[in-house]
Amino acid sequence: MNNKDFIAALAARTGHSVEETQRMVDSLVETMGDHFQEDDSVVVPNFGTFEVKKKLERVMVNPSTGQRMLVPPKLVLNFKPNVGWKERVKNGGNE
Amino acid sequence: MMGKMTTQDLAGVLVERWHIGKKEASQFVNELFFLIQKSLDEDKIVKVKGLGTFKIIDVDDRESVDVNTGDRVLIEGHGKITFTPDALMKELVNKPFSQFETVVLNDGVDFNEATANQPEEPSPAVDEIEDSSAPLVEFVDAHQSEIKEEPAPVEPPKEEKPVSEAPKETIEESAKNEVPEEPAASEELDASDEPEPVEEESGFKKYLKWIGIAVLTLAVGILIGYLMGNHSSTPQAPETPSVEAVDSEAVKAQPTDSTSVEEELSDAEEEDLEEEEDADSEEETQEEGVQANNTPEASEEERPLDKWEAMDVRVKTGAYRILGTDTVVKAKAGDNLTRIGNRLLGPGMECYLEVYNGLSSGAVLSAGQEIKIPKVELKKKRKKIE
Repeated sequence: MNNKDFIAALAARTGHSVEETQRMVDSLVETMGDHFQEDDSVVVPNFGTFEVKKKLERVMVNPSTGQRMLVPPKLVLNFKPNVGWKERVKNGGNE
Repeated sequence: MMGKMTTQDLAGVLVERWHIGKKEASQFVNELFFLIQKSLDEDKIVKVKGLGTFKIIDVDDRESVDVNTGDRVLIEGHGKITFTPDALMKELVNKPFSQFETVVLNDGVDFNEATANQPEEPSPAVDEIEDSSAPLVEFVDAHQSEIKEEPAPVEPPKEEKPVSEAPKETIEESAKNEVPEEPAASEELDASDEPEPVEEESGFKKYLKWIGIAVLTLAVGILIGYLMGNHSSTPQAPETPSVEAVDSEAVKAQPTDSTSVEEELSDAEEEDLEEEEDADSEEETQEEGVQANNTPEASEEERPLDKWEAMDVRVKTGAYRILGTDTVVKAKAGDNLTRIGNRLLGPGMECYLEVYNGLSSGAVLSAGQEIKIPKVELKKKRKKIE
């Protein structure tokens, strides 16, 4: 499901227009981004947690050329699904 | 920081920006995430613009080891939720570290060197050790070469060599010259009847002479001290002839009025005589005398540069010499000279700071106290120029 389908489905469910829904989602995502920059995590009940994690720098070797690269440290956004949902998916059961 | 944001907070943002009811806002947020979850379960993939992509991937069966029992276990294939942030979101999150780029490491680069920034410090230390050891070697070299040089004039004492620069040699030479003339001593005895009045009338002259003698004594003393310091084994030999030279010189110089004065002086102090002789020969504008004097003077001019050496033996024996003030830094709270020295000049350089600032090694520095950082130069370098 791509973004367009997703927004359309969301619009249908909430009663807002597609355009409006898109802008509301955008502002939500933007707000989440602002918080991520401050190392805040976003916890959504029954869904999961968005969290910023720091990855240390490391030396990477290109297996085909043997060339070594120093990869700088970085901050990445991590998502950890809610345990119940995770288990459900793990067991392969839909719903 | 590290705070948590909940759906209520997100709903609050919606209320603020879109002026919708609180209930509606929180419902919208809940719907959003619920729909993501639901769509994911159905489609296995959901893309949300600006946030990222959620996916459910299938993980194949794999073997593993039970960490507690060491038994092999089979982990069955299962579904797994993954999230890949949108490129925009990724950049936004990584903004604080965005200036870093992946660097290709050359073959020679050591991993430790590349990762830790500390190696900077040890390397100067190694340099210093090398530097300080180098001058020592040179000292030995200089020493040996001088030893080689000196025997030459001593061995052929009869030969009259062209005047050379080294004062010792000059003295020796004058000694050689004068030795045959010693018989003149008898003449001197004759003449010594007369000089007594001369001595009285030249009281002032004598005073001046004494000053001159004192200065020369100092100069020659420093020179001898310097030479002895450099090669302790050699100096004894040349000294003896020089005394002889003095005697003979005095004998020879006798015809002049002042000679008698000098003579008396020479009786009083033999060592001073050396210088007196120099002075004497100078007056008589003997070439050797002039040259012999020039050399110590020249070396005396260089001496003042090393006044710091005189203050501290570590500076004297160290590999560097102080040339002047390089910079002035202000001490931080809790700083000491050793730390500042390590920071600005390298390990083991604090003695230069101590001497240059006139502080003791354990001196407690107050914050903001100005510390002069001397400009230092390798002694080795200068020697080469000489």
